[in-house]
Amino acid sequence: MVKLTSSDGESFDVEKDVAERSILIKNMIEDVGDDSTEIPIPNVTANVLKKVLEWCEHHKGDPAPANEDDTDARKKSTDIDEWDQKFMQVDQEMLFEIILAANYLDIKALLEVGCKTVANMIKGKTPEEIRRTFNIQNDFTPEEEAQIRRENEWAEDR
Amino acid sequence: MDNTIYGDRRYAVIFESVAWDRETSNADSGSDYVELGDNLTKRQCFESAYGAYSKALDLAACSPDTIDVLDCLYKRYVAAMKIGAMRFALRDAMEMIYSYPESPMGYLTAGNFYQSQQDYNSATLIYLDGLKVVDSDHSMLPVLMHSYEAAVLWAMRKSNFQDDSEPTPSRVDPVYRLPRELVLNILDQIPLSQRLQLLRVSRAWRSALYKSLPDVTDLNLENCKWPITANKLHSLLAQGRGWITSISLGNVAHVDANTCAELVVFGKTATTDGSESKQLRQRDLAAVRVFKFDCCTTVFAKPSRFAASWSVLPQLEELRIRIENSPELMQLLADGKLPRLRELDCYAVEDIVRSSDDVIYLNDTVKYGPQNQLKVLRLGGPAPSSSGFPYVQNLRASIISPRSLQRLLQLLPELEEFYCVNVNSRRITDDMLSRNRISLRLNLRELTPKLRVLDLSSSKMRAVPLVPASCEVINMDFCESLCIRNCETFRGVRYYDDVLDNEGDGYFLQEEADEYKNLRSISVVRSARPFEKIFDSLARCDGMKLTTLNLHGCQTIDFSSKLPSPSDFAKYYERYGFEEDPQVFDSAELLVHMFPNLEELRVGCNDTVTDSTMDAFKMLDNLRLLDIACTKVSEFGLSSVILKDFNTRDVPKNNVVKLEVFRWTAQVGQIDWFKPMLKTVIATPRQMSVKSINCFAVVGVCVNLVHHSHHLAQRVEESLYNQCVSSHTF
Repeated sequence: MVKLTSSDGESFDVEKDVAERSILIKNMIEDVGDDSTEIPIPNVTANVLKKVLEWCEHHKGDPAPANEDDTDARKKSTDIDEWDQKFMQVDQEMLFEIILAANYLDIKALLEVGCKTVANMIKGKTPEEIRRTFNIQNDFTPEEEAQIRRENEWAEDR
Repeated sequence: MDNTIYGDRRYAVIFESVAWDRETSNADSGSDYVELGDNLTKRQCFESAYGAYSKALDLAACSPDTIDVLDCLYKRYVAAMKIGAMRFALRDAMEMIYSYPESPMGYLTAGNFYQSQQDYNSATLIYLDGLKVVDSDHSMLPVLMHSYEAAVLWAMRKSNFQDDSEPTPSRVDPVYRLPRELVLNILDQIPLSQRLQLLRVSRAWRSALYKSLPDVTDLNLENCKWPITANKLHSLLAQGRGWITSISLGNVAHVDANTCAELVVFGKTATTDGSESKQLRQRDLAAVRVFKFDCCTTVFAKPSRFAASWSVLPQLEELRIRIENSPELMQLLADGKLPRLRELDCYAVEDIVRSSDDVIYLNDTVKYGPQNQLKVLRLGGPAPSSSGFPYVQNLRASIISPRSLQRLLQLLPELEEFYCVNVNSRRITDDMLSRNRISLRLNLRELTPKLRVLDLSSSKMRAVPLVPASCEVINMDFCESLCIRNCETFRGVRYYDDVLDNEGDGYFLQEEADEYKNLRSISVVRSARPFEKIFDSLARCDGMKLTTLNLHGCQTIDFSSKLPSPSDFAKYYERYGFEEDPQVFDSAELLVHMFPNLEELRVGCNDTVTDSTMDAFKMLDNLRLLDIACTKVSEFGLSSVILKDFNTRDVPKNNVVKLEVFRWTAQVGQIDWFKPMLKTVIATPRQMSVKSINCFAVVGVCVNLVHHSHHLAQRVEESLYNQCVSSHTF
């Protein structure tokens, strides 16, 4: 058992092999050399850490990622497995928190799922739809926008 | 933080009112209060827990050894964080540092506090302080190290993609929220065309998308659907970030052709009729080595227009451009502005040299120095396809006078490959002839002694050039070399030089015996020369080295008849340097005897090639490709070449029987061991049955069927040729 503490001080008791899905935690446990030490996870709040650990729990039996070529091939395909899809059905704020946590904790597979989810949100959307989806303010002047549109119109009508 | 209404006192009050009576009645030492605080924390009563820890710390001020003050401070910090009392949480964290400066816990806590407030710079400083103070063998040091590194990363990330002028960015904008490498990872999964559309989402998105676009090194717009305008080209080059090494432009809007060329060659465009001048930075073009431009341009015609900036592309190594006339080309080379140019491809050159001007240009040559760097020169049309038949007849031939050609080659003594396809170099005026009657045969032995490849396919030459001994490949398919006037009347007729050649002796390889010893490939297509002249010419190269021979449509070679007379045998083996009587009886055997190492042999479009000819060809042990389209060779004849090593017990040598046995064996799949050297055969469907083709395929011989008949086309040309000859008197 490993004891993790979120940035807001909440403690989680986790099985070692679940926690070690995170390379960061794995390295820390190795560095500290003492399983009983409490490991602080700054940057990650309790509700996010809970979610991340839920994912780690479900995927604890996954085989280790294969060689580089394989991960490259996986990166290209955009399909996400069903459980992960459901898992990622959270509000956008949470989605980004999970991605950031996965990045910080160095959990490659979760990070990949998160990035794919965001990519799928972007794919096929027009710039206007993107702005609406992510609540982005258009900070171009109308002239600038028209100019960019003109320069790249050959990509628009495919 | 000023709006935080919580205070120390308030917690104490709450704590006293809620928990004092019931749970703390028997708590009177610091450790009891700590325990109470832990219990309250577990029950998520953080406000009360804060009070309990405060009480414990108050008591500990009098008797410090009763509890672990550091631990208690940390617990109070956590409770404060939970209820959102940031100022108090920070105070606890700082107190941990001041009271226990040698423990890493204080630095960790304070650093984490700043991280949670997204003040990564302060967090970094705190962690750094900790790293300076804490013992190097403390067990928590690695944790502190990790935290410090994380904070540094975050501090850097926060400054990414962010403009100070930007209005408050959206909390759910991935480009703002996520670190840069994750944004690039996500954008990489978006199709390029959509990425270009998304450039106008926002400034931050544009900056991220630009970074995600692959570094373009090869700007190839040859097959672009949209006409390229100067504006578009400018924006593409400006966005290339100096990585572009090769530019190929195909579909350029006609009006913009000059502007586009100027943009690449000079780095800017001229201001014409009110349009704005566009400029590129030097570094945008710094890496360009290859420029291919398929449109007609006069950009080199007026070098004075940009005389000062003409050296923008001195690093160019390969240039393809359409140049209107050859003096311009000469100018381009002779100016020495492209000192590293290795390969020049100018098709559709028109020679504007007219009579008297020619002499003037010729004299000008003196002042131009040789251009030693140029190794490859392509004039006229595109290189012939690998099929061996350059179908470039549709293109208008480029016209270059023999003298211009000579003058051009004088500038290029180091030339190694010379492709002169579909060039008409026969045109000379009466005036020129009367002025100067020197030989107009190109002497490449003197002009370009290092020549390795010469391609004169589909060209019209005054006479066959003298070729240096270093030449390995000579291609003269469809090359005409007639010395006649008014040659326009001969358009459409493709012949080698013939009896009309005043200057040549009728041989296409010239006299000297050691001159062609490196030749590996000879292609003589549709020659009308007499059989003997063809063979005598072929005999001048090293028969053991020749691996590719194309005699397509050379109908003067009669493969079926015997050699002229028995007395001629002696003549052949003397002439071709055979040690003894080769015992040859027909042309096919003679050919096999002269070139035993042939790998590719094309004898299509010749009625005299029959099944019995194949008996000679099966002696060629290395033959890989055989073209017998439009000949009288049938599947039986072919089978004798393919099945030369095919052992069949007790089967007579009759090809028909052999083929039947082979077919039967092939069908029952018993001949896995049999792998003939011959891999490709070119034939017409009329010559082969599907059944045989399938059987040949079993042993790995691929029969390519062609439907067009060059034979028929030649008949038409022949009659046209005869008309032309009869209507002109020479």
